[in-house]
Amino acid sequence: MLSFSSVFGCLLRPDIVLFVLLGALAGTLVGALPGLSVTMATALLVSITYSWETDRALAMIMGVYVVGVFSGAISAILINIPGAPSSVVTTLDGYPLARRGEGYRALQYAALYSFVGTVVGVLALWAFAGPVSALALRFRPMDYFLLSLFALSTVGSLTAKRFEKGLTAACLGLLLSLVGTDPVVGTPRLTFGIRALQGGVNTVCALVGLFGFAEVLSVLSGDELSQKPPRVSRRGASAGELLRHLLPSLYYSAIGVLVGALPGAGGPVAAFLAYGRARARTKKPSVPFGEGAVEGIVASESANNAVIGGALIPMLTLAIPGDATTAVLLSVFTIHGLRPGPTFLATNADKFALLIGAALLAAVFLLLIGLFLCPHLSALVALPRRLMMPVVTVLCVVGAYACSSRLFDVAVMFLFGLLGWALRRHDYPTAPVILGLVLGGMMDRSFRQAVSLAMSEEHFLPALLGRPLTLLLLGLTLLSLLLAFLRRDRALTSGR
Amino acid sequence: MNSQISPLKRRELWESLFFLALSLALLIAFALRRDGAAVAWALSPWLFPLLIAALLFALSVAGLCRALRCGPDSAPRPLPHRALTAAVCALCALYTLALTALPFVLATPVFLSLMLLLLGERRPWLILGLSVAVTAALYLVFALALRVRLP
Repeated sequence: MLSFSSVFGCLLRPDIVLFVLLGALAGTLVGALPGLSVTMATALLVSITYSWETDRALAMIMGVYVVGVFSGAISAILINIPGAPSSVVTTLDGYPLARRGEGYRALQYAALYSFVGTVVGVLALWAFAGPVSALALRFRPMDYFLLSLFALSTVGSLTAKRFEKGLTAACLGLLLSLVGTDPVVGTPRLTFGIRALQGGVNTVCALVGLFGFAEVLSVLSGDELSQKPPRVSRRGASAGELLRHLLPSLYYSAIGVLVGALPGAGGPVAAFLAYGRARARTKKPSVPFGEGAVEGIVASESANNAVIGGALIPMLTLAIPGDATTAVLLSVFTIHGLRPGPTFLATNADKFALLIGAALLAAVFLLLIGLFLCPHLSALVALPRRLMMPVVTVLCVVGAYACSSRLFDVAVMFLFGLLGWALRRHDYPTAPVILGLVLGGMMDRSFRQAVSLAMSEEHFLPALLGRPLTLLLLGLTLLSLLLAFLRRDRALTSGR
Repeated sequence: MNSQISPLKRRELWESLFFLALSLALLIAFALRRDGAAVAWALSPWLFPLLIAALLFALSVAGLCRALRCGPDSAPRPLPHRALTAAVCALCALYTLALTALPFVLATPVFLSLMLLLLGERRPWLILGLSVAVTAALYLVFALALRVRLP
């Protein structure tokens, strides 16, 4: 295991500190702007840092990665447009807080617990890279499918008053994720002959439309235009209030590390699972979940930032990227002559130490930016709605166009906005639609792989579901569905 | 019988029927697909969509039963500004079309000004100033600083 001196020694280099800071500032901007993503920023940095010294390139990219994941919460909280799919959960409680004029407080919680999540994730990477990657290797296609199903069933039941509506929204998201070219067989699917759809529905466009433009339409069609904007409270949370959730956040961070270590699962799954756990274990939240409970922000931000450390584990130890951003990071390593894999930790201990040190330093910058710079942005909420909504609309257009430089994506964004608005008016939640969109492709591939593998065995069902890990995940999924069904049944018999 | 069903309950019934019809249509469409038939059914591109459609069907039936047994949980939200919402949607469609012919820095201030007027803003200095300032800021940040292409 690396020593403290090797990890913190790299921080004594002023150039490393500077590049992490530059990366952190760039990550704040990129992560907060809808339509731009940390993955996109990292990909741009691959070409920019091509000729740089390896240490400086890694330092800057870690700065962008760590702070970029957090800053998706800024737009999620202030204007209900998540900067990335992993920040969708933060909108559920962050935006209601901002609408009450408590955006400052919401951002404080997001910053602090993003910091905690990042630190826990990076420390797990430092101490447990070997065992966690061994656990991740035990997951088979059916396990990935069931984990995604568990996440969907959890979010479907948590985000809607009615269980059927939440799951229906998730099914819509899954169906939309299947639009495009089938990755296994290569035939077009649900494209209706439209060539532009052969690449599938862009998740970022859907996200911006479902949350951003749908919010604009909701405001316009309701009474909020004529209402006075809320008075922005400059009173933040006290240190005691902020630190009260430290222990639970360690638990949510552990969820983030474990889910992050599973290639393809990523931030959205971790955030939703952690949010589900928060709802289950918090008996008396500050306010009801979905109406501004800080416990919801703590859970989602701890988990989605802990994913950073988790995703780096399979990338460094197995050369298998944990998410899209680590896939790009893998190319950075390759360009600079590094070879992630089983021997990486032994043969490149100095680079490993630098990665950890840079990530921890970026976490400190995240905390400083989040606590001191971002809360001033909370004053945006005090702008009259009739001035904000046109600006948000243009931001949605720019964000949608930035994905692939196609006006078709802008049209898709508007259509998703109309869909999101219609869903909201009929009490269908939009968060499960996004999660379905994100997970649908992986669920499809995993399910078909699992079934075709099991078909080659003598006994189909034991081959499909017979492993202890598979049975555990199946049990958790069924339990989640059963509990949601029983809650529904209680509501039916009580006449609601 | 129809007069005994409240408008709220009728809305919920129509919602459930909509999803029921959608899921049935998808089930039939997916089950009849033959492309990809050269591969085993386990690898068929229509296996997973078929399962999702079946789940949607089950959920629609559950929703329909619920709607028939109980009243709805919440009142439908009123829609006091239908005309405004429709006008903004039309304006957004025109803006998207305009971007095919005009550059971002020309189309956007016009769009912003029109939308501000639609939303009731009447101060000319604020309309023009905000439209130009927002367009300039977005151009500076995206096109110049981040080198991201604008429409």
